[in-house]
Amino acid sequence: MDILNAKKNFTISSMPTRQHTVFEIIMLVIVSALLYWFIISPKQAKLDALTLGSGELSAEFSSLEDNERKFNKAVADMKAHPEEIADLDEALPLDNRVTKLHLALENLTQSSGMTVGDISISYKSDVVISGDKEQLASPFKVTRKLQKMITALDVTGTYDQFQGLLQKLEQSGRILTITSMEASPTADQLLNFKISLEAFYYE
Amino acid sequence: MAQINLLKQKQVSFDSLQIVTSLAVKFLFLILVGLVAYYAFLLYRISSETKKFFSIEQQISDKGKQLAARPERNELLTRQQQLKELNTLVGAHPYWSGMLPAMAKVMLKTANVVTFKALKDGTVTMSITVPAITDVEQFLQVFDLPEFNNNFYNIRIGSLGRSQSGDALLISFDVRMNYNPALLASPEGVR
Repeated sequence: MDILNAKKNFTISSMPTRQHTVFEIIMLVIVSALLYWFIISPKQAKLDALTLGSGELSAEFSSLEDNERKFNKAVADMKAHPEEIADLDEALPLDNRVTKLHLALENLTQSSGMTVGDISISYKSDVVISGDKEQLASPFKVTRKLQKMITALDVTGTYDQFQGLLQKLEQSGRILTITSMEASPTADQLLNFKISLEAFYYE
Repeated sequence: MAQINLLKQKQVSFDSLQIVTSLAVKFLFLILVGLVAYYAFLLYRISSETKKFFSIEQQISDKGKQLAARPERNELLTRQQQLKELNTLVGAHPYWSGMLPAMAKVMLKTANVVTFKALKDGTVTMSITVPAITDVEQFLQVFDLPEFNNNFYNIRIGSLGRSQSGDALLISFDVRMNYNPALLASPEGVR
C-alpha cells in the first residue's frame, strides 16, 4: 500500500536533486541525439545536395557561356569567309537541281576536248527542285540529309583527252566520285569512255 | 593519533559529483541550444541555396532559348554538317587518273587493249588482242615479277581464242585482275 502511494506521488520535482540531474542529462542527450538524427541530419543532407546541384548547374551555365562564345566566333568566321562558303556550296550543294550537275559535266567534258555522247542522271523526279516557297523563305531551317545522284557519262575522244577529263573531274569544285570507268574503241579510231560517278547534294 | 572524519569526506565527494553533473547538464543544454541554432542556420542556407539553384536553372533555360533563337544557328549547323561530310568524302575520294598510266607500265607493247573496265571494288577487266600465243605467255609472266605485280595482281584470263582483225589473225583473251587501292589515293598536292 505504501509502495502504491509512493508510485502515485512520484514526480520529477519529487525526486532527490541528484537523481533529478541525472534524469536531465539523459533527457538532454536523448533530445540532442533525436534532434540531430531526425531533424538536422536530413536538412544537412538536403543542403549538401542543393549545394552540389547548384555547383553542377553553375558549371553547366559556364559551359553554356563558353559555347555561346564559340558560337559567336563560328558565326563571325562564317560571315568573314563568303568565298569559302560559296566553295562549300559548290562542292556539296544545298539543292537538288539536276541541271547544275548536267551543265558542270558538259563543261568539264568540252573543256577537255572530248565529245559528250550522253549524260544520264538518276534522281527523284517527285521532289520539288524549284519554287519551294517555304525553303526560299528560310533556306537553313529545314533538316537536310546528304544524298547521291548516280550519273553515267558517255564521252568520246583520245586517251590523252580522257586523262585530262579524269583530272578535271578529280579537281572539280563539285565532289564527283568516279565508281567505274570503261573504254572501248569507236569506228573513227577514237575511244568511247563510259564513266559512272556519284555527285552529292543535300535534300 | 589523528582522527579521520569519514562522514565529512563523503559529503565533499557528494558535492563534487553534484557540481560535475550540474556542469554536464549545462554543457548538454549548450549543445542543444547549439543544435537548434545550427538548425536555424541550415534552414537559412537551404532557403538561400534553393533560390540560387532555381535562379541558375532559369538562367540556363533563358540562355538555351536565346541561343536556339539566334537566326544564324540553322545556317551554322548546316555549314558544320557540310564541312564534316565534305571532309569525309574528300578523305575517301578516289583519284582515277593514276590508274591508266600505271596500267600502261605493265602492258606489253604488242598488246592491244580493246576494252577496259575498272570498278571501285578493286577489279579491272580487259579484252586484249596480241599477235601470238607467246605474247599471252609473256603478258602473264610480267605479273610474276615483283616490280610489276605491285599495282596489278591476281590475274585471271578467259575466252582465250583466235580472232580475225582485217587480214591479221590475232589471239584475243579477256583478263580480270585486281588493282592496288593505293593507286586511287590522292596524288601529292591535290586537295
